[in-house]
Order: sequence, then C-alpha cells, then structure tokens
Amino acid sequence: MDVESDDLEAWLQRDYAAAYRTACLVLRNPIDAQDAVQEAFLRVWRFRDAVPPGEARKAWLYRVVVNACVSRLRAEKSRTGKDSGDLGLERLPDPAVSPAERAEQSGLAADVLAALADLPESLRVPLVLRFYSGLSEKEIAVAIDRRPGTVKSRLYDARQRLALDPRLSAWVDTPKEMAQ
Amino acid sequence: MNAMISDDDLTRLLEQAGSSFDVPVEGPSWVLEERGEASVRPWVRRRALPLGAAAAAVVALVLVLQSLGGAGTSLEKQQVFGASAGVGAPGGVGGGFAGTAGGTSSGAAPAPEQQAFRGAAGDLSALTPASVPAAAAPGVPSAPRTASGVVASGPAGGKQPATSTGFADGARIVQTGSIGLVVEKGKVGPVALKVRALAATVTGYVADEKSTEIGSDPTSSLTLRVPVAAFQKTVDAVRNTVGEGIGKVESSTASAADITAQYADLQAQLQSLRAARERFLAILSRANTIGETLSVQQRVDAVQGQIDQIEGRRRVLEKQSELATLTVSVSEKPKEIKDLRVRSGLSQAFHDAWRGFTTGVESLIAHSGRGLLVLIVGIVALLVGRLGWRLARRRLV
Repeated sequence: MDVESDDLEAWLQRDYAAAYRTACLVLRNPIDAQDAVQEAFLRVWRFRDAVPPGEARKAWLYRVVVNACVSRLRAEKSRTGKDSGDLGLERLPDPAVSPAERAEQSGLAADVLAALADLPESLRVPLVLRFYSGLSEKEIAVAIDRRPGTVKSRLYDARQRLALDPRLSAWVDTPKEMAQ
Repeated sequence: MNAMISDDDLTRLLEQAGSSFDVPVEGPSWVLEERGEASVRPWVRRRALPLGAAAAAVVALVLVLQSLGGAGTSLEKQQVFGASAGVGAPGGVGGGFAGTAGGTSSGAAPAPEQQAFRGAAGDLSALTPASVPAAAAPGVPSAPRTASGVVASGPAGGKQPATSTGFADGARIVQTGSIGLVVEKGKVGPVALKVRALAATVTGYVADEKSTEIGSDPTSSLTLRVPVAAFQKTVDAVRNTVGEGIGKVESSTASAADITAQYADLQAQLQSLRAARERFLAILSRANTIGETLSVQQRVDAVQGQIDQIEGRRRVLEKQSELATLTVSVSEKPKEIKDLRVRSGLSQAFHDAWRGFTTGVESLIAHSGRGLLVLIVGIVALLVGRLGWRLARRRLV
C-alpha cells in the first residue's frame, strides 16, 4: 500500500505527536527526538512503496522511529561516551497547567525519566513502546526485530528493575512487596 | 517473588513523562517541506546490497564446488595417464612417465637414434654399428614400401652365426620378447640388479627402467636392448636369475617381424638412385652452357635428396634388426589368501555388514575434508547473505 501525498499528511497529523514523544522517552532529548522523528517520516516517504498495509503499518512506523533513535543513541555514545539524554533536557513548561500541578508533573516526569535513563537501551525501548506507544508484544517484536519471546523477557526485566527503583515508589499506587 | 508495577501505573507514569515533552507544532510541516527532496530509491538499488551479497555467496559456492570437482577429475586423469604411460613399450621408444603412486623411473626411453648414447650399463661404444654414421638421417615419408610380415612366435632359437643381422642368410628380423618374473618378498631389487648386469655381459644396455621398491607391491620393469645374436642367450640368462628359493618365471613371450624384403627394397632403390646420380654427374661434366649446367644440377640435387631419405630409413631398419628388445618385469609373489573358509549365511551377513560399516566409515573420513569445506563455505555464504540483508533492512527502515 503506497503512501500518497495526502496519506502522509494525514499520517503525520495522526502519529507525529506520539512518535515524537516516544522518541523523547527513548532519547530523553527533545532536539534529537525531533531530528529522529523527522528522519523517520522522511524514510517512510522515501520507501513508501514498501509500507505494509493495515495494522502492520503502525509497527512498521515505530520500527523506523526506533531505528532512527537507536542510530542516534549509538552515534552519540560512540562520540561522547554518554547517552544524548545526559546532555540535558530542554522542555518548555505548559502554560495551561497550574504551577502546583506543574511542579508535581515535573517531579514525576523527572523521576520517570531518571528511572528510564538507568535502564539499558535494550530494555528501555520495548518498555516505552509497550506502555507509552501501546504496541502489542508482537508489534514490538516487529519494531525491534526480535522474537516475541525476547520482547516478553525484556519487558519482564524492565518492569522488575523499575519496581526496585525507589524514585518511582512514591508515584505508584500499587502496594509493593519486597523481593524475596 | 518481586512485586511488579501494574500495567496501569506504568502506562500512567510514562504518559505523564511523555506529555511533559511539548510537541513542536512545526514538526509535521518540516517533514512535508523536506519530503520534496526525498526521492524514491528504485527497487534495484534498495535490493542491490542483499542481491549482491547473495550473488557473491552463490558464485563463491559454485566456484568452490567446481574447483573441488575439477580437481578430482584432473587427478583421476593424471592417474589414468600415469598408469598408461608407465607401461614400457617393447620397442623402447614410448612411455617414460613416472607413475603417480610412488613409482620411479630411470628416465624417458631414448629415441632409436639416441639409444647408443644413453645406455644405463655396458660398453656403449661397442654397440654402435660401424656402418651407422654419426649424423642422423631424415625420415622417409615418400619412399615406396613393401609389406612386412610376422614370421615367428615363440623363442627364436637355434644357434646363429654372429653376423651383423644375426642370421646366416642375411635375413633382417626385428625381435622382441618379454619375461615376467615373480620373486619372493624382498627379492625384487636384487633380481632387477642381476638383470641389469646381464645386459652388460651381452654388450647390450638398459633402454628403460621403472621401479617401485617402496610400498606393499614393489615392482620393477626393465627394457633391455641386446644384439640379435645374443637374444636367446639373454632370455636364458634372465630365466636363470630366478633359481630355487628366489622365484619363478610367470610368463614369457617372444615375437619376430621379418623386414628383410623391406630392407632389400630400400637397398635396391638406393642402388638405382646412385646409378642415376652417376649418370647425371657424367652429363654434368659434359655440359657446355650455364643453362645446361643448372638443369642437370637440379636433377642431381633431386636424386641426392631421395638417396638421403632412403638411406636414413635403411639405417633405422638396420639398427632395429641389429638390437633385439627384451622387457623384463619383476614383481613379488602375491600374498596367499589365508581365509578361504566357506561362511555360513549368517556369518557371511555379519561379515558383509562389518565390511560395509568399515567401508562407510572410511568413505566418510575420506570425504569429510571436502564436506567440511563445503560446510564452511555455506556458513560463510549464509552469514554474508544475512549481514547483507540486515544492512539492507536497516537502510530500508
């Protein structure tokens, strides 16, 4: 199924925000995320004759986005030895939110981002795709080019690590049981 | 067991963390602006890398298989060629290639004109006929021929006077023979030495020799050139080299081809041509003009050319009839087959099964090298193809 000109615009309108925020959660750097998503959508356009039809289209798009993000992560790490997120977040405050709510949200987001930063890329990407982007395990497997069993195992590892992260305990309603 | 954060909590936390990033409003428009510069890569270019990698892998595999098959074929050809070339020709003018299975050779058999200079033993100068000039004569392709017949089969026996032809009536006979000796274990070398020494005692020489004295089946093959008058004496002496406890004569052949008529024909042609040359020379002495001189001289030159050709052929026949060829092959007695029991059906079946098993294992081991190489090439081709495909897919997405 080809992506025609109107389709691309509609697709951008529908998926750009989610793709951008997914890239932000993976990269933890808005500027890099914007570049990665732009590059991803341009790749989609360039290879529009290879875009699969139907529901597989979403997994394919996230695969392109993830690959663009991973490429940037690896390039940045090989250049500086640090993840791009370590360079600092430049987020603008949302004027519609009250200062108190903003402070709370800012603290939550900072803790979640810090917890994500401690996860390795191999765990962070499937976690973000599953619980932020809403992809199924099968779609994640397509997006990261791994078997579904591997995805399930990585999601389990990621959740186990986050469960042990003290920064998230204050934001979680579920009562915690300590590890045996 | 560790407590997990619930799906709802994780979704809520990540949604709130994600929503903390403000989406750039101009983001989609930037993509649409850049879209015009992005061109569609043709299918061939997108698939070029994996296709190229796959093609290279297939070509490499085919080349390796071809080289393996080709090597085997050439080896087989070499072995067949070596086997056929290893058989010494009775006339001593063929063969001379060493066998590939450890065989050794004393060298290529000399051409008839060279044999007098390449004897392995004996007084060679005594063998050179006095009538044969040092210069080799050219061939005689256009000379008239008469048929030569095979006149005898079996030993050319009888007491013969010692003439240049070996026969009292001047008959020209090309004699050839062969003797196969079977000797006890370890006696191939000593018997071959004795045969070689015999050639010297009858003023003959060893024209060719092929020996394999290492291994489970040592053999030696010698081609002797001896004077015709000493042919039977040589045959008897070779037979006597294997006495009691050494071995025995396994086979013996002898044949003779009468070339008397052919030789006489050549001599008659020579006589006639020489007379013609004398007549032309006499006419030449009486020539008065340059034209007459040149014309007669051309006739003399033509006749002289015919004389040289026929004379060369006559000398070859003369030499063939002066030296007989005797091929002596020495080999060890084959091992006796100890197990001659008649097996029962079940025993035979087990015996066949065991032989089949050992043969299969041997075959497996023998082919394991080639199979391993094919496996390695296949794995490399697979890896290259997979790498190419992954790279292409990474470029694609």
